[in-house]
Amino acid sequence: MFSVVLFVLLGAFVYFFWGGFRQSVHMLQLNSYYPERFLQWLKGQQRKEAIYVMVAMVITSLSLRYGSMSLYLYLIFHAVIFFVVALIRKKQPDKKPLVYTWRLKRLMVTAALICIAFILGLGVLFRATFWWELPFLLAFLNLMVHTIVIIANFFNGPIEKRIAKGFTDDAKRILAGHPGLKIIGVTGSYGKTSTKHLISQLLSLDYQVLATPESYNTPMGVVRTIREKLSATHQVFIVEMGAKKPGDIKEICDIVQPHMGVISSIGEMHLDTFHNLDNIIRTKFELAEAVAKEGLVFLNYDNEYIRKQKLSQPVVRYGLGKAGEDNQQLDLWAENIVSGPKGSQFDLCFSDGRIIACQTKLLGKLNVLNIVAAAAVATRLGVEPSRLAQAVSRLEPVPHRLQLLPAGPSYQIIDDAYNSNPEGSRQALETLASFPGYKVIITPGMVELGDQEEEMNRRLGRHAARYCDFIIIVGQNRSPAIMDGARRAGYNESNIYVADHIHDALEKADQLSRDLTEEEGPMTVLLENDLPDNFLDNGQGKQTRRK
Amino acid sequence: MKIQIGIFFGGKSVEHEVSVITAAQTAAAMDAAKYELIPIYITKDNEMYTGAELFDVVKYKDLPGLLSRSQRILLMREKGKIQLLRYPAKLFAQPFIAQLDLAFPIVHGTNVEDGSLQGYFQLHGLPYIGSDVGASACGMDKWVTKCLLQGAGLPVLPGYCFQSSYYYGDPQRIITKLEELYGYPLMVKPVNLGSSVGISAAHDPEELKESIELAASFSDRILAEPMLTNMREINCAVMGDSDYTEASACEEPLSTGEILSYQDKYQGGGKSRAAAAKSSGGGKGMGSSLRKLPADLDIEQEEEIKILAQKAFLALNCNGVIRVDFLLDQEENQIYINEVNTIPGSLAFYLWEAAGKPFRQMTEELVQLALKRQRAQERLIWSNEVNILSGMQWGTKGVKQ
Repeated sequence: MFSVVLFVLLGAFVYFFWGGFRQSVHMLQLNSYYPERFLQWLKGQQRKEAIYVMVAMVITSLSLRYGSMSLYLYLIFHAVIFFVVALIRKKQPDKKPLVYTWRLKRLMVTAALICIAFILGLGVLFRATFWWELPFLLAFLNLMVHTIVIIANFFNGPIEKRIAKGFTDDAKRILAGHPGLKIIGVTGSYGKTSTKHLISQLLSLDYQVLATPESYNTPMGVVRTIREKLSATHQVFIVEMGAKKPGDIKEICDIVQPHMGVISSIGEMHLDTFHNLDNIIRTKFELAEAVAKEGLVFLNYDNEYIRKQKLSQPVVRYGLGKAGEDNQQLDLWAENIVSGPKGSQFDLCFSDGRIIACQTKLLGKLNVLNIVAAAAVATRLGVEPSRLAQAVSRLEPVPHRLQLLPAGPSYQIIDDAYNSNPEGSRQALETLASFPGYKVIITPGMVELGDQEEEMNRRLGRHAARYCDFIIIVGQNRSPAIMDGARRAGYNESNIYVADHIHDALEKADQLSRDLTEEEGPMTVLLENDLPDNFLDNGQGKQTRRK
Repeated sequence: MKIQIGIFFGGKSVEHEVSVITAAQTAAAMDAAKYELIPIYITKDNEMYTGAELFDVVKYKDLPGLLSRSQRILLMREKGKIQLLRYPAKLFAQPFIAQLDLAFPIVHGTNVEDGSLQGYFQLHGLPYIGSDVGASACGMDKWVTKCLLQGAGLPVLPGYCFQSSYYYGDPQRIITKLEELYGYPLMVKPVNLGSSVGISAAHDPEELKESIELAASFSDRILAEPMLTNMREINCAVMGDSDYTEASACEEPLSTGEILSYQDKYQGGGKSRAAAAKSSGGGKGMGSSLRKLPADLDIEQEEEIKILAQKAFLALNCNGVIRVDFLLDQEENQIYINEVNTIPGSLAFYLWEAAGKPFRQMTEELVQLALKRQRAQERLIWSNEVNILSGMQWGTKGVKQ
């Protein structure tokens, strides 16, 4: 009988505990198992529910055990509390699902062992009254869930490091068995994902290309791509390389040893971890250092920081060029750029005087720059320049980067949700301005810009006021700065709406489109900056390309 | 890491043996440093085997023994990769034998070359060398080929196609019809067989009956066309895809003692079924049979044939290497496209060697063409990534969106 009661209590507790535990390991996973980032997230969290339960447990425990209640009833009573609290607590849908990787499972096992050790250890301590203390101990355990997860993560650290090294060695071994493979590293403060995608599409004219998927740009992401995706038929491997601190790029280069490198841009990104611009420049050029002496480095010569660097390897300089100048310092550039709602037209110019007229359905001038980078790589790998015009006209937009999507019957969306740089935002707004009809921006504002954040968001508000008929701001955090910027530009505040979340914002846009008169329409909505990535996946049957 | 290529050959076809030889030739030519070649032999019973000895033509003398030393296999798609699995599975043993990156179908004739095997690959999502399902099916069907080429404005002989049941219902009706249309002599062919099998000439109503009945024993559909009396046969191979094609050297097949030649087949002889079946090797233009290479042609004629061959390649939407067979009417000095082989015997490597492209380089290019087509296909939208059914609300009044 006692074992049944115990079973019920522990069952109810596990059900209760699971909610917080799952959330905790999920957040750790989303923060790539970095305890510092996890703690940062934790700071903003309130553990009201756990504290309430804890307090309730203490009060009831104390009042009940000195009454005349039997132990059985006492334990059952607490089981009910656990169960009811678990039932009524708010459940929030995941933006990104929890993935039960082996690493996560190992973490969960370690955490469970810590929990059991904790209970047993205290059991020895409270030997006489253990069963009476148990509910209280369990509630305390729940309160400490994040600490337990962090401790488990700490214990697993050395094992995980060894396993990761095993994976990395495996990836290196696979690459060593693939001697003909051309490896191209792509890095930059921004534009690297788009550049990678476009290089991949142009090189596919002549080569079997593998690129790191989505925005995988960490050593483990690269290792995983090699181990799971690289096959004997591949001839080119394009590796996106991200960096948050010095040494990050070198770490990836040590694994893949690139033959070519592309540095798409340098700007003041992730200053919180880089501290200063020199560190950023040095880190990005770790890629150039890693490229073999006989290799090639492709440099965006429009970027002043990149232009100043001197390299020992042969260099291909690309850029948008300057109208009316002779662009002598560039090897490949674009001229006569005309951008509009249907994409861009431009002349692709080679230093030998050859000019190829191109048109693309990709939106915005920044994409022209990315195409020039891709064309530079493709031609250096032997793709016949005369075939580029057709290939460029067939380029597909990169998801969430100025990607034009049909939305409702009467409006379309420019999805620029993954953009995270101020210059890109301004250009996105200029692109929006080129569309006819009613223009709306949906944005949560810009984040992770440190001291400059407020000023940048004010500027965003000012630009938005200039180009948009309606402004929808998502969330309260950055709305004052954006609204302030718009107001200073003399914007009519009744045309600003602050939405609670993205679904609210999209609903508002939908409503706006329905209220439009024929003269005002059609409507175009720009989704700008750091929105959650699954905001459109609400079962609309959106057509996407097979990967 | 070598590219794993499954070479599929054999099959339930009258050209089974030719395919075994072509496969062995091709395997010997391919670069062993780059490719891991896995033989996959399809028996006349449509079972698939793999094994080390299957590229050795001599071993086929004792087929039951060879098969007993080989391993029967299944093709299985698992986690996006194509695996060869042992069948039947052994207890406590891994059924996995190999993983395939690419399939190389080297099969001739109905039931395999006609898109059947290509469809099998397509269904598995396994990239493969050569023409796709549609082009293979069209190329195997002489009537469809004729219609497509005619539709593309390319020169073909006129023809009349009918079902064998239609003929047996009232033989005289067909004979009268053909006499009205073309008169004698006539060529009668089964519509969907390897080049020369079941084909015979008819000079009078009696011969026409025999010819039709011979053809009917090979196929349910029969094609009759007027026969050229003073002509030469010229073959030319084409390689490439929709972006780029190139033509090989031209050959003129000649008669030999053993294998029935063009003249033997088309001008009186070779009407018995046995003789027709025997000629199957010769018609495929085997690497060892007699020919004039390069064919004796004046420059303009040769140029015209090469251009027509490439146009035929494009009209049928072919891929990889094909051989286009021409008839040269000596009296009118007119060129006709006679037929298209989407997987030519010996892959027509001798025509490419004569044009300066070694067999090994040719196989290299074929591999790249197959991968390129796969890339092009991946760009197309094939399916909704999101399950539309999951977004529907299932109400009591049926499905609402």
